[in-house]
Amino acid sequence: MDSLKTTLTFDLFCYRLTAIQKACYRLSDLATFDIEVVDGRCHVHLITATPEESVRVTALLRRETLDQELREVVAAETGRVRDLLLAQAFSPLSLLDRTGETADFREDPLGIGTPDRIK
Amino acid sequence: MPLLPILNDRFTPEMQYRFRRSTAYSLLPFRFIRLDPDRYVLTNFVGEYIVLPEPRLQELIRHQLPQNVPEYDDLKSKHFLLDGDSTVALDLLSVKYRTKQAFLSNFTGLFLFVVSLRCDHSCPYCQVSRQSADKNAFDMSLASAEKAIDFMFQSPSPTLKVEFQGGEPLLNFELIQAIVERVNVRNQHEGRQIQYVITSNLVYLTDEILEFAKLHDIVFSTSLDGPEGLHNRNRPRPGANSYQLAIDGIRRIRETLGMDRVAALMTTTEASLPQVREIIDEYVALGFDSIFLRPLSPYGFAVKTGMAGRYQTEQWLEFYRQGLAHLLEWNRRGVLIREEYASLILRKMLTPYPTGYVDLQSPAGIGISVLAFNYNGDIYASDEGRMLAETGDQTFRLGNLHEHSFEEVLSSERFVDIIRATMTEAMPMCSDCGFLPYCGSDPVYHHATQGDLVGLKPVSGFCQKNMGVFRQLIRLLEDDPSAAATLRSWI
Repeated sequence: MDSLKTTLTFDLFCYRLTAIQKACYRLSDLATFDIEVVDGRCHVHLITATPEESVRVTALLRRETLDQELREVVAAETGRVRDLLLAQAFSPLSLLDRTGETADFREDPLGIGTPDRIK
Repeated sequence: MPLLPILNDRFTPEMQYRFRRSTAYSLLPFRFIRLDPDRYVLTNFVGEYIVLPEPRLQELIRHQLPQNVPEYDDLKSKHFLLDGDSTVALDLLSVKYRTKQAFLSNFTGLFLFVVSLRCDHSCPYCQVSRQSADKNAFDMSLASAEKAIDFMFQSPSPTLKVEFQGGEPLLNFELIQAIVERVNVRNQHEGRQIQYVITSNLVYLTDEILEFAKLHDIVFSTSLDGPEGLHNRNRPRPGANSYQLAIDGIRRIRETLGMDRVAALMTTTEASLPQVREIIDEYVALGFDSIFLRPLSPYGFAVKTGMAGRYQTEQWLEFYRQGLAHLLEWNRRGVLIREEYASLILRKMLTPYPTGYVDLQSPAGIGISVLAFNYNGDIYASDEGRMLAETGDQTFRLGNLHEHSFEEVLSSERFVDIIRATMTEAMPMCSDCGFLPYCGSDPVYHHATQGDLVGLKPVSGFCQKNMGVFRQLIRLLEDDPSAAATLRSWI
């Protein structure tokens, strides 16, 4: 049986290449993908066995790429916090509030005893 | 009306909270995955989850989520977003993550002693057993057992579980006695908490064994595949009476040691698929308060006999979903019985504590939560690794008790390579998966089915199975209040 090749084009101003690659990987049980980048556009050639599969996988790839792009947005915004949390979780020292955990409480280094209106 | 005295001027006036400003918020790390066509599951990296419709997820990520929608407070309290200067959320998250990963600090606490490979059953799904009259060929020697005890006590874990496995371990009961006695003597100055389990088909259970078990607080684990016809079909032995012997054994253990001193496990074969209600009813009739609906493992003889390929993961998932529904129905009628796999996962979803379940953690528990000592002194990273070896694949053999020390085995390149390949946070597809906090990796499964420790997840039966179970449990927690109440009681 002849395979069917369909091409989807993504604008790399709208989608990160990694998001497109991850979406293709996630759907790699349903189709074979070739990815090529030309002039700021990413062309994804998907190869399926039937026209029906092509329509289905195309819809799934569009949706999955949107999801992956959102995941990239979250990862980019939270990456540094995640690294800090991991370091904090496995560190014997406090990385978040070293002063608060090591200073003499009688000196009130965090100003807990100071009324907000005076701060 | 007189003004109330100001008791503590450090608190902001109440009016401050009446009109909430639409201030900016920061996102905290989270992952997400579709639950169904309209909803997403969001999980943070300590395993708390929230279900959002697609438009809400888009709003959240684009920093357009209004503060006056109910989801906002949920997202804030579960540490998906941060909208103040406080670092409390970060502190709490790091503490919770450290708690979740506590299994790493204790290191290996479960040790499987394969005291004999001999067995009188010839179960087609069995991975390892041998029908042999030659006691010396497939039984562990006392010398190997003593080495294994020394090895076990090298572990820093404060609790050590000694599990006697086979074949049929009661065929070498003399060695079980010797091991228990030596471990107890050694533990007088080690001071660990020791637990013993014998995994047995109970055919060779005697009064002497029961007395020994009572004296040393040993519990039993046995196989019960369902009603008599199904059990005997799955577990053939001379006399075709495996079911009756198992039932007699369960009764005698309960009479001598107590109701909770014997647990049962089932394995799903093709013949089991249409009988999930009957299987569960059998467990209820016998007074068990839990059942573990386990799929067949694709290792060893299960592959040789073709049993492993006789049903697809989706068929098992349908079996599991029907089983879960039937168990919930029993609970509604007042019979408390839980499904063990669901319990493990619910603990991961709804509590900050680790479960210790080898296949559902990252890094995987092979070697760092469990080690298997084979009858011939070989050391394996897991029981499944040992099963794989019985068909000639020694990938998960870490060494031999007579040749290698604890340090040599657990710092070997082979072992470190295996562990490195089980970090789901760095695996393709897993690293972005919303179910990552509940899942893990099974390098033995992926090696056996795909020839690769990590595996291609889009075609992985392990991935398909776990995603199906996670989705089903979250749907029940979200959409069925009655089921949710029962599921919460299973933790």
